[in-house]
Amino acid sequence: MLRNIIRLSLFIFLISLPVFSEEIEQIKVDPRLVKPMKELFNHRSHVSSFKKSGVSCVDCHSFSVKAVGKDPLGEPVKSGFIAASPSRCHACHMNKINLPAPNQCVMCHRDVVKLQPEDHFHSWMNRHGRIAQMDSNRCVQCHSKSSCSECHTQKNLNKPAVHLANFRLFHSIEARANPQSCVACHSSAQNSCVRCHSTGGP
Amino acid sequence: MSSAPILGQAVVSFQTTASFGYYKDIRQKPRFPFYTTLAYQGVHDQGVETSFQLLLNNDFGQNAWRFQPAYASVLIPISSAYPSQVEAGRFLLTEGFDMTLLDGVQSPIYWSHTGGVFLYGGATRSLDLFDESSGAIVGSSLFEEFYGFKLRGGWSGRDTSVKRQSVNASLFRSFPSLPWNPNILLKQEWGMAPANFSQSLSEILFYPNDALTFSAAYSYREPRPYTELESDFIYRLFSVSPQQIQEYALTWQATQSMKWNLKTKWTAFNSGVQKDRGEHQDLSANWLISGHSTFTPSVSHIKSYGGEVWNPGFRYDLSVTEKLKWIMEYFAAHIDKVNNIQGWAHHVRSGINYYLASHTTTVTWFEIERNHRFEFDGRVMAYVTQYY
Repeated sequence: MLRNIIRLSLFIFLISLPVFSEEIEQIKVDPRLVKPMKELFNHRSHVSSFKKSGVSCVDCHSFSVKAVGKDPLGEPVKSGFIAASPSRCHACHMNKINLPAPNQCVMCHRDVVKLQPEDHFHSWMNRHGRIAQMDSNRCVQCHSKSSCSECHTQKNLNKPAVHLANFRLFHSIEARANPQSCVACHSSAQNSCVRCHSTGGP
Repeated sequence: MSSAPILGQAVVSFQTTASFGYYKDIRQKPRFPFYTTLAYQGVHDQGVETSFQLLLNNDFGQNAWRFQPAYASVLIPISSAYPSQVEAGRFLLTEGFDMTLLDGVQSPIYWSHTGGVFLYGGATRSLDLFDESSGAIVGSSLFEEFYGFKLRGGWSGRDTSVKRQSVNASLFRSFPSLPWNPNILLKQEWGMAPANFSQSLSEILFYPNDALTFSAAYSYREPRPYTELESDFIYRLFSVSPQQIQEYALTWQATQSMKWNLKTKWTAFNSGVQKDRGEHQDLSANWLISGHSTFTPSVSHIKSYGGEVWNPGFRYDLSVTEKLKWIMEYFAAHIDKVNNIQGWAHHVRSGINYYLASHTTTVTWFEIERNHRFEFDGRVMAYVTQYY
């Protein structure tokens, strides 16, 4: 019964696609910054870091902009044209300064969800491992290497990112629905099952 | 992406968390769990990176201190043109269908921006840090991109309780010029004698427009077949055969502020008594309300020969101010188990995230459960996180 309902829902979604697609607004929204750019970036405080890192003026500012008019007295370009692109921040802060995401992102961006790539939009919790095994180098463009272990090995935080609420009460049902899902993280029954069940667990 | 060196300085990042709780266990004995984590990352001269995550836990009721390094590595770039590097220490290894901790060395060596060879070797450890078992592993992979096809193929040899060699191959391709922008992923692993087995995964994903994605996947999995004689392996408690999984998922961004997710999965395997079937469905919505709050209702349904559960609930996030965020969760599960346990289980969680100062956040949580085992089960957690 439930299976039929889900299949019917899926079918309705697919056939209604052309109708809905005309009404759909543009989804991509620029991520909001926590402060105006002028307050986020202080050129004076960055100068010493630039010198130490060997960053020169032309690494951020393009001075190759030409005048608007073709004649020698053409109107000069406004100074804003040589301003560095805001994305230049990422050249250092996403590559060289390797704070873990999302900590690095929230230094400037208010909502990291809006920064996610397109494929993170769809069932990403289930799929990310498959893609990471294909092309792990793509992951480290935004995430530090240790961010995997924050969920996969660091299990002493109150972040039930994998298990649903009330999981303790129905994990026996879920284990029998998909045994392979358990062994992605837990292998030994002695360590994972007996540890609780031998001390009085039901 | 190359990791360009930073000259004459080091950039370091620290993050610490601590939490403490109290509860009574099933035998009414008081328990005082205490968890601390110290995470560090540093980028040094010539792009050398160091990082670790250390866990220090205790149950004061039992005075059971435990120290666990979850991650600790040194990463040395070996090319300025490509992201070739050598990493040594403890880190995650994800090759083929396996994901494990590796105490050893891994090194991706690129000959172009898209191609190279990946070498690794060392001792494997379970992701479950309580599991002390380990075994030796060595392996390599080749990867390259041809005409948009990302290809990867590799070999690995293990010396665990049973010796095993396997080869794996995978293919990924996106077709942005075709209608609905399909993406395909194919993956296969073959075991070589004496551990003959095969595992596979096929997935196709469509992006018809900016608002809709849907995918279908089929997999044939035989986890750790080389240890099939191990009665202690959790998979063998529930299945004596490989399992076949069908997965379908759909995501629909109905409006700029409303997103729907539907996932369903069917699994078929042999439980040792008979051919069995499990199913799992999730339906959820994510609704951004007036830019300051998010409401996420969801319902999950799981059915297997162990019973059936419905788990509806919601999560509500509210940005009270720019610095203060309040989160509230409530789930009520109706459980009907094969051992005649039947009834409702309630779970409430609420917390406050507060940006105390630049680079410093605090998180305070409480959690309450009520079910057939506990009339009242609660815990309170507080985290202070500082990062640079």
